[in-house]
Amino acid sequence: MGQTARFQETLRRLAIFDERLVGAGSRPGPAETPALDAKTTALLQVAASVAIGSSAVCLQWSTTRALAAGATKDEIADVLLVIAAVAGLGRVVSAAPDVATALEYDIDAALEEPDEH
Amino acid sequence: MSWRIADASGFGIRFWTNGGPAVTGVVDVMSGTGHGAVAPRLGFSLPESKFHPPAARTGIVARTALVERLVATQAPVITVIAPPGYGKTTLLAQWAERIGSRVAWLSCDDGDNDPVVLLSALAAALDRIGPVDPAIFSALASSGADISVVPRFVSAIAAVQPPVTVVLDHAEAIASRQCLNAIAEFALRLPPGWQLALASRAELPLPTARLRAEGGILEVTADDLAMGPLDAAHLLKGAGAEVHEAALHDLLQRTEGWPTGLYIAALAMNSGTPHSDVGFTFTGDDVFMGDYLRSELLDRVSGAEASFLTRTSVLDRMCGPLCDAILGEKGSGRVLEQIEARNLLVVPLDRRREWYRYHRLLRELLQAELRQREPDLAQDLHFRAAMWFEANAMPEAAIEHAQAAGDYDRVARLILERQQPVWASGRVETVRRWMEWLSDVTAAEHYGAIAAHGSLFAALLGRAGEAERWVAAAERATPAGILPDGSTMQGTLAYLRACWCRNGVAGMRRDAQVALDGLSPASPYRATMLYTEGLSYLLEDDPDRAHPILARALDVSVHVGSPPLTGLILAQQCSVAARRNSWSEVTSLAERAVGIVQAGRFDDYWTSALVYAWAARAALHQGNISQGRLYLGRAARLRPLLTYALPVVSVQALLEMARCYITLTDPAGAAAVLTQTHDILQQRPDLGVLPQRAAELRSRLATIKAGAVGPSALTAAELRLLPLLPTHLSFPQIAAELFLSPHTVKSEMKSIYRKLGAATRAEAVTRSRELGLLEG
Repeated sequence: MGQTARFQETLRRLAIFDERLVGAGSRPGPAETPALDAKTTALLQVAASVAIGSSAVCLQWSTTRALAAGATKDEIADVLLVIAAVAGLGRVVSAAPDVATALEYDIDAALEEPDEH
Repeated sequence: MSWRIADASGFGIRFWTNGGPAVTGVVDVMSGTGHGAVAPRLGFSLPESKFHPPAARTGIVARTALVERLVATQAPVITVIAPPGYGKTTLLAQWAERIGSRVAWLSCDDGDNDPVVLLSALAAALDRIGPVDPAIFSALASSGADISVVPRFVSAIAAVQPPVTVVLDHAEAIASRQCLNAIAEFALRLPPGWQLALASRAELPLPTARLRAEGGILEVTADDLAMGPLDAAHLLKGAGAEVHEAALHDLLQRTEGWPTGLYIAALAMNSGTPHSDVGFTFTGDDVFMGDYLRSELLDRVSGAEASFLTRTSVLDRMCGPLCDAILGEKGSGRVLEQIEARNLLVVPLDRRREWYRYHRLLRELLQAELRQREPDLAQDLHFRAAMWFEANAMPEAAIEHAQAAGDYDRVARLILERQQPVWASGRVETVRRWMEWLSDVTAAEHYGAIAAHGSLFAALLGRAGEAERWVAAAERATPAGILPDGSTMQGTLAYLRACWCRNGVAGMRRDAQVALDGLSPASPYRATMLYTEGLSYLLEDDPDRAHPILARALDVSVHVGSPPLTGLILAQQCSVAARRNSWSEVTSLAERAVGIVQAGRFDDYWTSALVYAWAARAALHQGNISQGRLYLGRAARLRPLLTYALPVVSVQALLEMARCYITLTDPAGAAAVLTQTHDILQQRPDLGVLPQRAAELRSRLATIKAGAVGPSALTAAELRLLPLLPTHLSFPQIAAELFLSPHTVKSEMKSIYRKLGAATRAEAVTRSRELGLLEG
């Protein structure tokens, strides 16, 4: 195996949503602003990701960030519920499985499961 | 996964001697010598015959050309794949003899479908060539190993200097995916100068393409093994049969050079009958072989002999008294001797000619014949065989026959008797297979004690759903009766409930007391129940009442020799000492607990999570950040085992980890473990002061400025995937291994890379190792 070409490294890092690649400033994390605490910021970012139809990786990452900022799984699920009326049910439905994965909930498996749980 | 498991008796009572698993019953029945030649470090016995090719018989054909090909090849991996009866074993045995002493031989059988058994046997075989790192035996025994243990395994055996040749004969006996994956991983990681040869009836799922790319693989097939006129003539002559050239030609055409076909024909001619002119043509299928066997062998021996052969084919090994017992006759020992003397149908397993087995292919054909001739008899024969093996103190063989006989009560009784030592010897899959079998064929609640233990085993492996299934069955069981060890069923079920802690802290204490009343005085579970009683006061924030009981539990635990439990109790005492703000005591208790864990190699035990969490807290309290991080990484590795199945200690460990992350101002890490805590508390809300502690920590978290999201934010589900990263398995294969959807694994892998700051699998592995999240 030779040296990985720079473009390969770049694309691979983008594929896992490594935002450090595009500079820390361009994609602010859930840093606190004077008015919003970290958790609220992170939850808003989940909401926005869902609403604009972000890719799976971005959805997962914003969910992960929200958890890291102290949001509970219930709070994150509620975000999806409350934005449905504004963002459209379709967006929310298509985002649900990827958000679920970040919450360690395997929807595919759960739907396959013969018993309830 | 390679998470190690404390055995279910009080989370880790083994029967230890000097820090290693005690040898439980290594009396080698097969060698007939009364002591096993198998390395005594194994916690279970393996028949000596497993480690040798069958002795060369007189008259056997030398496969010189093929042997030379094997000798000449530089390919590290050799596969010999051909249908039964092609002489795969013979070829490898001749090759092994030719290359001399540096061959580790392993004849695989059904029992090897437990990765711990397979890898331990392999290590034992290698140990005969040169010393392997003895630590690998206890590492395997305590690992419930799977593919992720292979790298560690390879570095332990790599001490054996090349050249080394490993032969796995009868690899078709290995059906478990875990074991097949482990073999494939081993093939890819062979140390330089080693060779691995595999003989199997069917293709093995090896990463052939990669092996070809990485140094090569030599594939020997049925075409190579089929005999030509020269070999065939040798074979017939060696078996004492003289044939004319024309007859030989005819025979070769009908058998297509299939050595066993030729051989059975020779036997027929030997028995005085001229060669039959039945118009067989070789088809290679079972029906053909069966017909062949019947016409060429069974029709030519006496009726009594034919029935002896078919009936005893239910046994995978036999001795005179055993055959007498199942046939209800006398003199079987002599019959066996005669059969051995006259031809090559049976293979002696010891020098004293006590134990024999049939040639494998022959046995299968005889079994098929038995099913046809006397379809109802097999069950009776197995029933009597089970009785005999049980009476002769070979309970594991008895279990197999009792299963075949449908003798559920005996199976259940024997499992209860054997589960403890077998689990303690690391053969997790073996115990699980027994239990799953019983619950598949009967309703699990018929055997409440088995269900109770099944739930504990599953809980210790971090499989909450499976544990729940067993608990439900145990609860449907009738709480009456006495178990083989003298404990009452009621006491045993109470023990289970106390661990499960579904009815709150007061309920847990009550259950522990009921269990103490009902458990036999000798039961190793008593120490756990005493400890649980002490723990219940701790959960009510009453350290003064907890303290003396925990101290007593500690004494008992030390006395019965249960290091994992001892470590756990010491960790609970850390919590008492911390309440008193006596940090020097916390430090010394934690050091002692870590010492026990490391001496016994319990790093991957469920009990060790709390030990390492407290060790981390003690180190951080002293300002030793790097040591604290290291211990915290050790604890984090165990997070997948922390589930609602064993809620109390799981939550305690997570909360202590959360405190550490807060101390390290790593809010993302704290949030991750608190989220996991929250999940457990939703299932088990009634855990005394723990929910309140969790809430306090959560609100403290809210006051800390958010930081970067890194490795500490890995979820338990992601941590479960980590050990499989260094293996050759693809993401879909990993998904299959863990019963997850491929999509989930792919997503989680991306998330893992991201949190580790890695862009390749290799980078992720390196990073995980640096963080102590992966061994090595």
